[in-house]
Amino acid sequence: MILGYERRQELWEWCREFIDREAIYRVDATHPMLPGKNPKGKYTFQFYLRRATFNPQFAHNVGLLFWDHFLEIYRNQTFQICTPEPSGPPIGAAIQAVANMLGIKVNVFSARREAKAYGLDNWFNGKVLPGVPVMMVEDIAASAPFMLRAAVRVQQKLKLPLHRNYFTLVNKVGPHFKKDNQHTENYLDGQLIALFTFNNFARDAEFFTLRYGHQQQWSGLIK
Amino acid sequence: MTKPLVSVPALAGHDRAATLEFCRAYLDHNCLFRSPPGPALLTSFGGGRARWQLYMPVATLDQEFMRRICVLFWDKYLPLYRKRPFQLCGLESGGVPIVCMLQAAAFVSGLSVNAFEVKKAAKTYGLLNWLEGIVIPDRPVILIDDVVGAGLTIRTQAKRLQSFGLELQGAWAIIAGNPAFPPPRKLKLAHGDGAVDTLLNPGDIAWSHEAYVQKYGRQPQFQGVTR
Repeated sequence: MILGYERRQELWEWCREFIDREAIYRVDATHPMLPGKNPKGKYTFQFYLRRATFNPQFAHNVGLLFWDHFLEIYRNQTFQICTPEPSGPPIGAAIQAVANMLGIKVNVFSARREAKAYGLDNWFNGKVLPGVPVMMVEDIAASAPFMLRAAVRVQQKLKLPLHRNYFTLVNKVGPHFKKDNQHTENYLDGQLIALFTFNNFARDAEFFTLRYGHQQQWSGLIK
Repeated sequence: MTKPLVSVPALAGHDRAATLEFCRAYLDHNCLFRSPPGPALLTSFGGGRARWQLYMPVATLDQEFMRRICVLFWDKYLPLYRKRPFQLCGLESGGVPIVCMLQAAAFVSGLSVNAFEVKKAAKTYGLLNWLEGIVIPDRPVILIDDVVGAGLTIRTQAKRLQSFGLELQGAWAIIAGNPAFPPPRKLKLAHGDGAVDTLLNPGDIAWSHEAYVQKYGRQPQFQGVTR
């Protein structure tokens, strides 16, 4: 581990609060529910984690927290990182940027949601190291199995072994989700390393106000 | 936490030329899939056949390539940032790893640069948003992409950002990548007409298999993933 206990807690708490305040949209009594992916579906909240991963301090902290956990493991067995698009690449960049600081060379490539429609019709972008295990890195592990699908393609199309661990910022589990909206049976015990679960965040607008003493107010232009 | 600016290393003239040459050579040797003589192996964007295709993520996901790109970018743009801070907007998907690395390189040197992404299409659920990230409404924007072809994508997204009330200060890409369209790629900026700023131009790369063999005396080797 590269961080002391207090420093690790400080970085973790900084990131937790940043997500809680800036990267979760919660519908309150004065706003309509959000349209869902399913045309009939409606959401009461949604994660917008790129509001966090495009923040330089957040990205730096995540890179440090990642290597704090995985540096010793990496030194024992080198791995490469696959980041599913569109949310994974900023996290891959954060990990690479801190690797630069630590003098570590780590290969990162990305997985597309669909094959490119021209050129080589490729599913992956970047370059891969033959035989080196692949760790999947994504912003959230949720009910939509994008990361797991990409992991299967890594094995089938690239013929590469998977690393034992998956890494995400958020594991979307918690007592307030319907079982159908969770993925608790998708990963083996200890396989998914996530910095946060939904228990770390205010679950709705009312709870946010109770926790912080004011209504949620996102910063910046929303377009 | 915004730390005071310490330094982003400036480049002496010869260092800049050597760094740029590293990046040029990296692209030329690793990132172009060139169809060998005979039937073209690639499908084109328009549905026909193509003899070459540039795969920029082979470079933009490479740690060493991007370390050098960051040095080149900030060597030019840090004085502009000091005069008037800007934010970076990466075009989905090629611009995203670049803005993240540019931002990270600045951050470790004590400069906290805001960044966000403009999507190819608005999200179809949730907030139906075009932009990902926190956008500072009154800070000028520099658009970032990996490659600019004829410039249509970057012009379209520039207009989009301007329609959201954002001030476009400039646009930057690693390479002007279509030899059929020589630079400049013109663009309307907040202060008048401008052009997309690029580190490399079409003449810096051997686009076809034959041109590569003639230039280097050996067969090209594509280093990217082909699946």
